[in-house]
Amino acid sequence: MMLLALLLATHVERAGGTRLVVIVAQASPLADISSADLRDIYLGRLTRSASRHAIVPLIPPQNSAAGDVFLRRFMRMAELDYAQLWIGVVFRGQASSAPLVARSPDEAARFVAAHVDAIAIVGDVPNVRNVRVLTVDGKPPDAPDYPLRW
Amino acid sequence: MKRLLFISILFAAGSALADDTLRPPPRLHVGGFADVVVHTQSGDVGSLDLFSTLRMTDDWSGLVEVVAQKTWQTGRKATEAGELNLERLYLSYRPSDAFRLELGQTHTSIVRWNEREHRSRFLQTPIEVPAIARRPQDDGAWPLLFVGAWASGRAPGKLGLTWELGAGAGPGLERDSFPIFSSNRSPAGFLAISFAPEDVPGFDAGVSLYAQHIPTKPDALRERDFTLFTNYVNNGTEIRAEFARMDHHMTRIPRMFRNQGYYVLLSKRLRGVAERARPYVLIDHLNLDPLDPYLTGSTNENALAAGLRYDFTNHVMAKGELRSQRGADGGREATFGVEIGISF
Repeated sequence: MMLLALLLATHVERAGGTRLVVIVAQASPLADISSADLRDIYLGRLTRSASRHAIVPLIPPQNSAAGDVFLRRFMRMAELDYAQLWIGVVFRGQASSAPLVARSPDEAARFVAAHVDAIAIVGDVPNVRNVRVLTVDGKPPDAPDYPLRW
Repeated sequence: MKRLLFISILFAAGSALADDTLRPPPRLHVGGFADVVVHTQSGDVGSLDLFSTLRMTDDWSGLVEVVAQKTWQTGRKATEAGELNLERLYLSYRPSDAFRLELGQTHTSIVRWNEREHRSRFLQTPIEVPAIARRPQDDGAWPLLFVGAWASGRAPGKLGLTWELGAGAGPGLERDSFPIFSSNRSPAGFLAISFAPEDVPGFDAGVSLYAQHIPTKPDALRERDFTLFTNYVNNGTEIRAEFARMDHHMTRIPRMFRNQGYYVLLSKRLRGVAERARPYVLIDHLNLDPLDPYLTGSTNENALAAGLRYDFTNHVMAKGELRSQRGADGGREATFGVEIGISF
């Protein structure tokens, strides 16, 4: 009985943990993205969409819960290392700029809705029309094994 | 009237500042690095590295990088020297991540450090550049600059395969000059293949090959370079290693000069309250053939350095480094260096 309670408590903690959500414009042909491609976009290695246009990535601010989870859990980097990585990416001519920082999911969503080649990682499903939430590795954000849940 | 104009400008500026809507990245980017390095033994260095990128379309862009450097030494043998170098100037055509073509002057990746860090010391963890990645102006041996066409790309797939292929002109009779339209030009070619498997985030490894003809007199040289490299950068851990070999073959007689070197860099970003600190260790080795007629100004290296990089912010850092290295007389010497640098 105690074991069952422990298992249940662990499950509740996981289900109640932080998750990140990936959004694109409603007009984007993208419906799913692999976590490896997502990581490559945010490392500056993958810079083009399927339509060959330059991808514009957006991230949450580092001083937010979503920003902290994005860096430490998803990118597995300190903020200093991530900022300097992008200074290097731009310096090497691999990308024209570092990811844009959106102060809120709604701000990210408004930008993404207006730019079909933009992609944003946000901490919550935004309350903005004309954006679509992507599945990651084929899993929707409410799936228990969604890859961007910690 | 003037007062009205002034108020209008102020109002316009205020509106611009208040309009904080998120905008797409600008097409023109100007940035740079500046640093000062002081040593207890060798000369001190101050450098300013300016670069600019211009994205004309999604496919076409350009980059220019200029480095100004001043070295000085105080004491009885006081010296002072300055230089201004065009490091990179190229036009880039990139229709996809699978293919990119650069035309112009760029840094070769025969030494991967050279392509990754370029000239700035800000991005690299230690103060000193490994001996195989020293610039020709600092008596470095490897051909780090290249003028010509350079293609590269990344193949889709879990292996993360990337390739690079170049053809053009390498260093001429002088290792820091690139004659293109004279008989002293050095035709050069380059090939590199590396992989970064998706299942091992932060890891990559590869091989680079470089060949060039050097019109030395009376006997020209054929240069054949070979480099193996690996990196693992993940979760605050940085491991980098590179082994490079450079052979110079005389073309008239069967005589070959072999030069080789390697470095190993280990560093770790600390956690918690010490997160701004990154201690590191660098092992740096270079063994040159003393009879190689093309490398008369270069010297061997056998150094062990330990230091600490401290990032005050994303754009301001300081490093302190204790280094045991080969001295000018061939013996051992210990030196302590401090670097303060910024990026902007």
